[in-house]
Amino acid sequence: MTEEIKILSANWGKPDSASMESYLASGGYQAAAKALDMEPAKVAQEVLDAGLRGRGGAGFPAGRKWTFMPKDNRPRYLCVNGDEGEPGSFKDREIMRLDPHMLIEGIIIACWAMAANNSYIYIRGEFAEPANILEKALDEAYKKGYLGNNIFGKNFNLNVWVHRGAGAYVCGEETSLIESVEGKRGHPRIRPPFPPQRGVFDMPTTVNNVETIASVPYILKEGVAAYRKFGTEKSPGTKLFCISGHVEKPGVYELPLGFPLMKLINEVAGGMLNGLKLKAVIPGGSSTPILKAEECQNVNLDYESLVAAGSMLGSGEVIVIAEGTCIVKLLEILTHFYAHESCGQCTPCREGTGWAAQIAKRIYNGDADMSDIDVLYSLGANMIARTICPLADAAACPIVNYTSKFREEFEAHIKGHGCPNKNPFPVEFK
Amino acid sequence: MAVKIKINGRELSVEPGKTVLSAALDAGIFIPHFCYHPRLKVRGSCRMCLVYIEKTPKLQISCATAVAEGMVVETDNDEVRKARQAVLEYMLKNHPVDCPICDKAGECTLQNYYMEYDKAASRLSKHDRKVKKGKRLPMGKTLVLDQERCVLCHRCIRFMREVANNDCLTDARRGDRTVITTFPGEPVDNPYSLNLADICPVGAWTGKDFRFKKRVWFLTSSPSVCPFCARGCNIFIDHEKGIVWRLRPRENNAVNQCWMCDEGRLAYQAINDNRLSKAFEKEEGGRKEISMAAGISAAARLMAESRGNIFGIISASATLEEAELFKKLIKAMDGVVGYERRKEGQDDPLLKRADRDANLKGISGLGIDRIAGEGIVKAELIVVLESLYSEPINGASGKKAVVLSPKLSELAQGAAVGIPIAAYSETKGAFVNFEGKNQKFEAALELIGDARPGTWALMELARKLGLEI
Repeated sequence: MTEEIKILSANWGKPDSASMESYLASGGYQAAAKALDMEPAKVAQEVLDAGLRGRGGAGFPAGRKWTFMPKDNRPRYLCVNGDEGEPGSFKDREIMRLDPHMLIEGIIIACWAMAANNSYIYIRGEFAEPANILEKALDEAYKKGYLGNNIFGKNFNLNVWVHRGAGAYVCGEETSLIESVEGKRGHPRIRPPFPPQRGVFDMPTTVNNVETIASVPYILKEGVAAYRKFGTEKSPGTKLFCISGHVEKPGVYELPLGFPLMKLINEVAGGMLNGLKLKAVIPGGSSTPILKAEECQNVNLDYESLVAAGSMLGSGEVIVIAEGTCIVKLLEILTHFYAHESCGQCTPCREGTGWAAQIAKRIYNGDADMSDIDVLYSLGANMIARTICPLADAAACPIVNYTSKFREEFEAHIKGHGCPNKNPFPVEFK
Repeated sequence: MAVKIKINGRELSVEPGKTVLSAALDAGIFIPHFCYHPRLKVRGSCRMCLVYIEKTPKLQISCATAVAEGMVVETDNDEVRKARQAVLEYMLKNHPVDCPICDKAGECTLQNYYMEYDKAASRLSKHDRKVKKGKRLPMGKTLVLDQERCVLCHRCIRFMREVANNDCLTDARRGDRTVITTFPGEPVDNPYSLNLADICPVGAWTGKDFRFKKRVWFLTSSPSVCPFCARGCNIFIDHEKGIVWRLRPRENNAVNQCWMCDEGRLAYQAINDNRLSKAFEKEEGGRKEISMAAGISAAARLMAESRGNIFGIISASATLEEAELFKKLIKAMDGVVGYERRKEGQDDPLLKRADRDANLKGISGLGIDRIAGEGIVKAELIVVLESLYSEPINGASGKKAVVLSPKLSELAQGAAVGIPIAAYSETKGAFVNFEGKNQKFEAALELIGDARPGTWALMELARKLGLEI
């Protein structure tokens, strides 16, 4: 694969890639040493100039986010978001288990830039293996003097903890992540105040995605121009894409932003599974609008192109759906997921997700009336932009989207009292 | 510097830092809300108070949005109305709609808002199921919890944590399975627990004492002041046909905010029970009921006989007016005056005072001191003015006594003459609380039987005795 670029994934194939030795052998921690010789503001400026955008889904410029930290004397925190709960996403896990030191080096640089002396790596509870690997990597970094007091011989202390979640999708949302770090139920907070004003333990806090932070060492080491060689003007750099579904070679691939979607499916991922015909693609994880096959043809994988195509880049989870897949079943699965994960705080999301899941299931099973489609649609529509956090928007997206783009499939289920296909999927997944 | 904003076209000048919701409420513009409570931290989760604010892309919750110069707010346009209706529809999805058997019916926020802002037919299909949650769960000595009716506004959790300083409540589970609960098997054991029944906007928390006793629409609420301790919580007495069914706190930020203690609240039974409604005279083997006029005459006669050797005892929970007249009357009869207190309790950090009398500060302010034991022993006649919660007085039993009391107390039972007087619930008057706040109140209920206000009885006695007081 000539297009695949190795920045984030440079060390993944190496033996024992998670070890300090291996990371040092490939030039590790040089970027941190370099950054700590620079003015913190200059470091943030580098990252801003490189155009690194948040890889958690919102795509906000990381360097700008760092400048929101207030210039007061309170202790500051960096929370690294490794909750990775979005259905279809499995990229941060790879960074954490295959190259934890790249993440730790990124944390050192980011904390230096923000004068933060404390950092939590918030990792989803199900990620036991990556959590153990991270813990081991942190131990190594402490031993080397890269973490702890006076790191790199500078008058700068930095402590990093791995904080394991307890299995809640909503904790990928930054304010509920903060609540969870504090040991509370993962309930999103009302903003304002924003985390830079009042975050972890009410102290200034920045929350960045694992992939965002892991991208930082390369920028510092190789420079802005080197990073901007990849990607587009507005979406520079590389990105890890998780491609799953009906393709021959699902997996995580590092590609420059702006990479053509169809090329990812047909070349990088080895084409459609068993030569099946493409039906639709969810380009950025289950919370992003679905694109029908004909809408995918000229789409590039960068923040702007996907918005123009009517969807979102999200955090780069491309879910490929072949002809023969039942969209109603897909919605049943997703509504069930969101109903299970709604934190229960805001009325529309709490009640709407559960109700929608019931209706989707009924439609799939054929116990529904035509009016149920409209009820289902409006349950989604009435949730959008009405809650504290975007979980409701995420939950509403597939509801509103699938019922309008694939309405005929919903009608067929109701008319035929069940799914017209014997199997909702064209192939059995192992 | 005040901030100028516009709500529904009305220009308002608002203190900076205020929220849109409180600015609107202050101006008499109602914005419906469930989770917002003026004395609790903002939670912003019910989404009922969404309003349109010019130049913002989406509706904002007015409870958590601070006013800003030039802000233009619409609380009742189409978008807002639709959003509210949707919130109510979501809320009712898993609500049992068991209004006929719900104690909150008639004063239920959900019910009222449905009538005001929704009135749409249910879109639930016959196939849809409601989430099963706990019904009528006993939650300690005072409360019952119906989780199904709960709208998860978290007022109860916040009240317990922020006001009662008690971490006993939490929400458990997620999504539409979320419930309010305690640790498994733990009760809600708190001296302020019944406030949950007040602040719960729906019928999730109900008080065991009031539950199923009375439909609320039959009740009349009359404002009053609780005499149970020296705080003097402002209250409503909820009554029907002379029977009191419950007490509820009445907002007064300078005294009790929006709260009251369970003990004071449940003490209302004393208004209904064991009241003295007729004057009486002691006779061989018992008491003889007599007219009020005859009672006053009999009492006056006894007082005249013992002039110069009378010991006057007034409850420290009597009104200022009663105490003033009482002092004058006894002094005019050359007697000695003292007050009697209830047994002390304990101060707590919220409202309850160790001093269990309503008016100790007021009465001592009139120059009345606490009674001394030997005064009672030496006196030939004791004249006692009791209040609703008066306790037996040491050394008084067996003494010749004229008792003016709202109840047939232990002391009254042995009295030579008993005069029925109004309790705080049936008279107007004033109490001075422990902080020196003079709180006037009006009669909430009709007088019982022949009973008259204590002031009236004292004036009549003076008139009978030919005294100018």
